[in-house]
Amino acid sequence: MAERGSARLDALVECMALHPELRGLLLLDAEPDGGEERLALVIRRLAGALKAVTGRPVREIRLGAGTSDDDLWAGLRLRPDPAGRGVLLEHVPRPLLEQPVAGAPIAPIPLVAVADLTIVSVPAARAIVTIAAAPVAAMERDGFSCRWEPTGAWVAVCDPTRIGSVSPHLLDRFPLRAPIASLVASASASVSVAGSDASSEVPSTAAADADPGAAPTPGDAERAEEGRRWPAITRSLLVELAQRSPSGPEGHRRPVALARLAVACARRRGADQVEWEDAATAFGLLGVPWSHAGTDAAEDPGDAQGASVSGRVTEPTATSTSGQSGQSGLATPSEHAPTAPDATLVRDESGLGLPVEHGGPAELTHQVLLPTDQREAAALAAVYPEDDSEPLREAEPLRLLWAASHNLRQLRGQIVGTRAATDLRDIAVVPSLLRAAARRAARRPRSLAPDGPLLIDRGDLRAYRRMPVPEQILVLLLDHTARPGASWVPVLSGYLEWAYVQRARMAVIEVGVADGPGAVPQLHAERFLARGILDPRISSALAAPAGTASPLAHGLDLAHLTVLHALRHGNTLVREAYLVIATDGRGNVPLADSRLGELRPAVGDAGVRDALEAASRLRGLRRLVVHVVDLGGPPYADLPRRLASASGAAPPATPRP
Amino acid sequence: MFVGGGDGPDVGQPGGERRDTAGPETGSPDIGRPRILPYSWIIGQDDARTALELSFIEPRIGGVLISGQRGTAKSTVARSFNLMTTGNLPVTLPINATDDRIVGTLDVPALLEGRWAERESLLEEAGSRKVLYVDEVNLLDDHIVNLLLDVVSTGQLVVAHAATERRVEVSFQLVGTMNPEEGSLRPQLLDRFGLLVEMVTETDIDVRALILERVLEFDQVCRTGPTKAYRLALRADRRRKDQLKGARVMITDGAVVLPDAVRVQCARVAAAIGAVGHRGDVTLARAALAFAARRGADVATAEDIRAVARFVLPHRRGAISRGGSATWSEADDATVSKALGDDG
Repeated sequence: MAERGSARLDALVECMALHPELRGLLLLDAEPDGGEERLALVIRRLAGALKAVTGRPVREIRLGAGTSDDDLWAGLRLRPDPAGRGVLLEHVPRPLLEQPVAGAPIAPIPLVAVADLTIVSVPAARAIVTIAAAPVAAMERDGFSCRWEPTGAWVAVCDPTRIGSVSPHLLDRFPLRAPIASLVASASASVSVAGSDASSEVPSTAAADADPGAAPTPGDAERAEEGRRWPAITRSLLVELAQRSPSGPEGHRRPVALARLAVACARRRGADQVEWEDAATAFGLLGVPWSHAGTDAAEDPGDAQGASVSGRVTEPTATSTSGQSGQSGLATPSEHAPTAPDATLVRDESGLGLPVEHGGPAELTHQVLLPTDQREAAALAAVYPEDDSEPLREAEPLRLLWAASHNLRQLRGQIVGTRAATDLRDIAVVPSLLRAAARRAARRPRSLAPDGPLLIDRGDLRAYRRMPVPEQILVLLLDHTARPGASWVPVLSGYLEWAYVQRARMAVIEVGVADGPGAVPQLHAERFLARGILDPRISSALAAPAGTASPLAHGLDLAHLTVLHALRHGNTLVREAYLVIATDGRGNVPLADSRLGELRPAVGDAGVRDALEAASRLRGLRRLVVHVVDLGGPPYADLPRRLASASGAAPPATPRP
Repeated sequence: MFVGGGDGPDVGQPGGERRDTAGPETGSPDIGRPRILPYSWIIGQDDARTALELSFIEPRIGGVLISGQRGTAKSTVARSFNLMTTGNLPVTLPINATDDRIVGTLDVPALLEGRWAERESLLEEAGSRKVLYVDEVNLLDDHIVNLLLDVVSTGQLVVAHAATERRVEVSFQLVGTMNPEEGSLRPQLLDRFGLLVEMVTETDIDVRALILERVLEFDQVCRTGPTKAYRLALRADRRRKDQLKGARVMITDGAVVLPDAVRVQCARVAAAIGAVGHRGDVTLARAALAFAARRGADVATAEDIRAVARFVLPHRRGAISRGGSATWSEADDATVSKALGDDG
């Protein structure tokens, strides 16, 4: 089905083009079908607007689930030498860096599109966080460096029902929001809101459906900028914007975005002054309600500019804005002027297809804004769905998560030499260049000058030879209070032998270690990491004396963090983690007390409950196998079993006598 | 053949800050520096500004970590301060950095032209410009953090290529910003920041409106050129820089004294808060001296300790390594008062 853009879309993309700080648009789209077509339409309109306003060419970039760091930043590329001798090594900066392409005087504006923000790769998400809405950015990779002031535009689609899976930090990089249905309509349907035909066209600088790759049209840029000063804004309007902007945990970005959008709306109509109607239009463009009611003749005497503005504004009476329509949205002051044509239904005269309030003929001297009511709250929730959504994301979603793979494992580990390269991965640049340099004189074509490029033959390429790295980790949680005075070795020998054979990394978490005679009980668990089973700290841990406190919940909490870190943090190579919990389940220190370092009186069974809750966080972690070694006994013999159940472990193994 | 590369042209701004593209927008005016809000135009966030100023006055404090919610101008404060004091943006370690750029590598473009040349690493650059800024420091990969810790703790950078090796003495202040929603910092790295500041959103409507005003005015400056107010702001920045430099000279010259009694109070306060190790005591004393210098005094007092304890000690508590909070509370203020010998 053919799609077409609404006037509201044109207005938004023009504002994005006119105001570089507004170049992030999050499209809320719960429709599974046709999303790509709708996104493509938005991209075309935005590209046209950017080109018209800035005079720069536009380069579309797609980010998705498979985007890697090399796709984003820069890389070395080998290509055949036109002379037929060897290969040429090129540095290839990616378009995000806004480098001029060969022969072009200016760099294209990157127009970055993300078809589904909920599944975008972590490198792409990190790129968005560091570049979008940032005044400066830096790339420092693989011997190359680039520092620039980003001007790109970012458009992402997100299903509002799944927005909880996206980091709020990432969402925060998109100052503009809009339900995609309000911007794009199928050709057979029209979006009509409150008496306005949303698909009606407005005078626009956006070259509709323009080809992003087409040459810029300098005339448009000059026309767009010609004679336009930056509109001024009054203090009273700023206070109103600060009051009216939706609050949230995101600091000042939302009010700043709305204020900038109001400025862009004023610029769009060529005004020197930001008026109330621009603010109302800005709120309406985002779908944030802006309702009016009441009378207030008082004017801030100290705000001359504000007075001048209010002089141009006519506003509704209290009775005129009783919200009879039940429609949320915006009413521009002009809609409530005495000359309003209809006492009960006011047209959206912005021509943008924005929802409007009902109002009637009225004569007012000042505008009073109602506190947000339930209807407005519902509208806000639609604009910022993440504020009320259940967090569905993993812990620390912007930290690098890499799937362990054979190829990746080949690229890690200590370098122990070089070998002839069989592909372009992990090329040892210096040895390769040295090899090529040694043969340079002999192989240089006569056509090349002596100081010409260094030619590298396929046979020159060397790759690193690396030590193998361990792919498993064994996490031992030793509850010393469950086995006072007895050796751990008989209980854990199977696991220790496995770790030795596999050369697994080790993490040991000790719970209930004695601090020495007369010492204060240790209320927290201790953890250390080791390269392997032969680390001397492990034998010390296996022989540690038992104390009286059992901060099992803290131990399990540390185990959870350790496993998460091992499996997910950074360029991890760990494929599997084994967590062995050797305990009787009788935790007697609540988690909060472990963190505080103080044991409060009358803890009751809080230690056990916290331990079960901490264990439950281990359940369902992929590539983790949990074993519980049952050291329990009467009268709480069932505690290890409950712990195993909570953590998703198999029924606990009973140690050998 | 080498195409492009990182050595973009100097932009001709104070300090020769590199800007590798045509600028923020074709046709936009030159405002005489990178487009970061002037320091004197930053509204609120007094704690962050105080901490950065103290670290400038007494560099041995060891840098600042600014932690806070989204949209609280963490990065703006850090960048703007550096711009004010040095004329440059700080050397920035981005989270996309690879280790070769951090510790140093050969100059690949030069190599491809047949020349053997090394390229200055980010850490060397930070050493010469005295500040390394890490945005989103909690998103740094583990092995990058290890590299950083290695150099920060030893003060030495070992650059090895093929058969050559050289050691460089590097010393810089670490300035980091982070959003705690995205994860915490390893205690070892946390401990390397001399001061910790938690930034919060300003809630007062007038303040929020003033923030809007400043942001919008700066937008205007970036699009239409410097205004009178902007020039006044830059003048105010220069005055502030001179004041801070004066305070710094006082510290360098030993013109600010830490009386024995106050020194004991530093140790007492650090112990009362539960600071692990002795770095907290030392940093507390240095920060108190810097605070005294900042107000032009030649003797540090208990009040200076009280003013800076909230920046120096929250991240040095033993509970941090056990997942405890680094938030400074009223109870902590009371603990400090008690350790200082206050009645109430």
